[in-house]
Amino acid sequence: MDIGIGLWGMQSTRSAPIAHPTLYRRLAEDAQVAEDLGFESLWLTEHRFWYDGYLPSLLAAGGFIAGATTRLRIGTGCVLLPQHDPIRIAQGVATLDQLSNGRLDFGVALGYRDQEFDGLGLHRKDRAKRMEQALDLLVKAGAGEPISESGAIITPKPVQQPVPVWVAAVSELAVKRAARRGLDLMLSDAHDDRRAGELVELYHKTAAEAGVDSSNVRFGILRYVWVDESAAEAESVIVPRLRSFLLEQLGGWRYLSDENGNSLGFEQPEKLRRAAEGVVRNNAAIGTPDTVIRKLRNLEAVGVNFVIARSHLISQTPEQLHRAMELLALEVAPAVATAGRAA
Amino acid sequence: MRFGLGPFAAEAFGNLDNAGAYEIVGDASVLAENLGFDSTWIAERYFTRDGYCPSAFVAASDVAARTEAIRIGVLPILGLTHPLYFAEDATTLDNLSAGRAIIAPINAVSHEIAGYDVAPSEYSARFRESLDVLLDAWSARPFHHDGQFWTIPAQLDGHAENRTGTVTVTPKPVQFELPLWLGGFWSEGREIAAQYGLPMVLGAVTATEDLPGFWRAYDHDARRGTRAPRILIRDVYVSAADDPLEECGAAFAQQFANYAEWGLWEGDASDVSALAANRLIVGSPDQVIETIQALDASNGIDHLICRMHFPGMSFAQLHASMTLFAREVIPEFKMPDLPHQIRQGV
Repeated sequence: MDIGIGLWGMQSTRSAPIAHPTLYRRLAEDAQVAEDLGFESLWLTEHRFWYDGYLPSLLAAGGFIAGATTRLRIGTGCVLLPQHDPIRIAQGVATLDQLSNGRLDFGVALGYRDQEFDGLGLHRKDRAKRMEQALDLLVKAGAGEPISESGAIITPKPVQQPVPVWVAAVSELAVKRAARRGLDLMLSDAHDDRRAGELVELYHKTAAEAGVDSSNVRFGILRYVWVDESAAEAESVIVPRLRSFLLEQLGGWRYLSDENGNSLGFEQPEKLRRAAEGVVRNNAAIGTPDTVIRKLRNLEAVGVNFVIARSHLISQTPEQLHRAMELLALEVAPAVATAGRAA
Repeated sequence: MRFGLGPFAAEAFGNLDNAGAYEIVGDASVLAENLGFDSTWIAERYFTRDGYCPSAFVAASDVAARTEAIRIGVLPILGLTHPLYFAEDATTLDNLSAGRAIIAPINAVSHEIAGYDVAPSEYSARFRESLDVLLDAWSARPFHHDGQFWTIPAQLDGHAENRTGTVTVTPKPVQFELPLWLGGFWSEGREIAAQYGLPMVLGAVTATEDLPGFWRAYDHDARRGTRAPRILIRDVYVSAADDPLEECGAAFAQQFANYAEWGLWEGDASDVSALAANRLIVGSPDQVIETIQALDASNGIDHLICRMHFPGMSFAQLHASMTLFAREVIPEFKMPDLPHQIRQGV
């Protein structure tokens, strides 16, 4: 199992209204710490038209990380691909992959907030179709083939042939979409371990039916991860922050669902609270290195081989974050590393 | 007078691949910051053979991380896609650079318009409407926009009701008024610059004899109470060698052959001396000072953006030219009270 560190969304929230230039200075420092600690990648997250200045331009922010580091891979977790112009995005992908000398992990997701589509004059209901079209275009652009009847060829080509594309999947439909293309998978923080295992299975099955080799696919998942030498300390630092983060963000975006699959917003505070509590208790890895190692091994047992450790929330101090990152890198990562276990 | 470096294109040429070209952009920008340049610039062109940077905002963000204080200018193409993508990229660049961004939209050329499947007859109207959206999107207030090409928010059927009927693009630029300059490389662009009262950038492709007329027309039409700053891009090469043009002529010629291919310039790129006579700033430090003095006398230049890197030029050659320019030429204009004893060495 490999570990990337996440997620940076550059939010200046009501409870922590830190100036954006300060958040970016910290991002550069966090990225350098991540690189020095040996993390494979650092991941960014996108939303737009949100009150806290949530990062809308992942490829630009990726360029910033590239300039601040030399080895760290840069993950988009995720570009809301159907909300974008695919030509413009393919040009940005090529540019970022070139200037970082092949360090881009390009994660894409459907997006789900009506307001984001609406602000851009797009129908949310077209998002799956737009996703497929954009993925097709990215393949052509990456191969240096004409993107349309105009004969236009996007240049330059990316350094990586191909740039790894990760598809974020909440639903079975999205898992199948990724599987038919043989793309890397990014499961959600809304999936518990059991569900993650089912979706990995579904991926392998769908890929086999489509004649796609899934043996080298990366099965990633988002997990809230926080490591501390003391279980009580880990709990007291991160759980209240995680709880308020989930309630504020996910309540606003109707990201969590109830047991019937209906999306939950602020208008159902009790159900939302229960769903958030479920994420805190079941879909997070919080505690001592031993606890976190055990939880990551459980994920590995169901076929997940990559975790975006979502240690960066909104309101930790840089010192707290860097200490947790250090413990994750030095105490946890070697114990779950694929290479380490083989040796 | 202020001095900028660029615009960079990060094109591949000969043994230099695009990744290597971006290394030069970063290294040269760091050098520029240490040599006292005021700004560094990235341009944008699409679908070119050499992989000219197609995403100026992404490349500029890399430069922002490598530098501390130098202003970072971009010359991105406006009007082909939804203007909010451009607005978001620009405000992101301004935030990650802690308020160092200068945004100077340029026009698409015909093969770019075709590649984006935009009707050529609609392009300039799309450009104008995009400018309106940018100004709204960067303002501190929520906005709505009803235009010929875009309605923001669209309030489409099936979407949860937007009760305010407005959109707020976030984050806001760090700079209270994000510098918006306009590329005057097309006649429409010069008209728009005047109409909006935006500082105008004239380009490397414009012949020196045409410059004063363009500024005059701008001043006549501009809706401004004060004189607008004049920004000029020129190709610059400085060397102490006997024949500096000999050292850089092939690279210049290649650059102008590209301009000709994209429809930005008409002429014979192989006639380097003719090119040098009315477009380039080439020579020994003293010759270059003289050329800039003459340009300044007839144009009143506020910001001279010096394109010093050309296809095929090594970093060592660029380094030498930039260093000589910064030590011997820039002080002449940037430090008007510099005692000659200090200039010559006490």
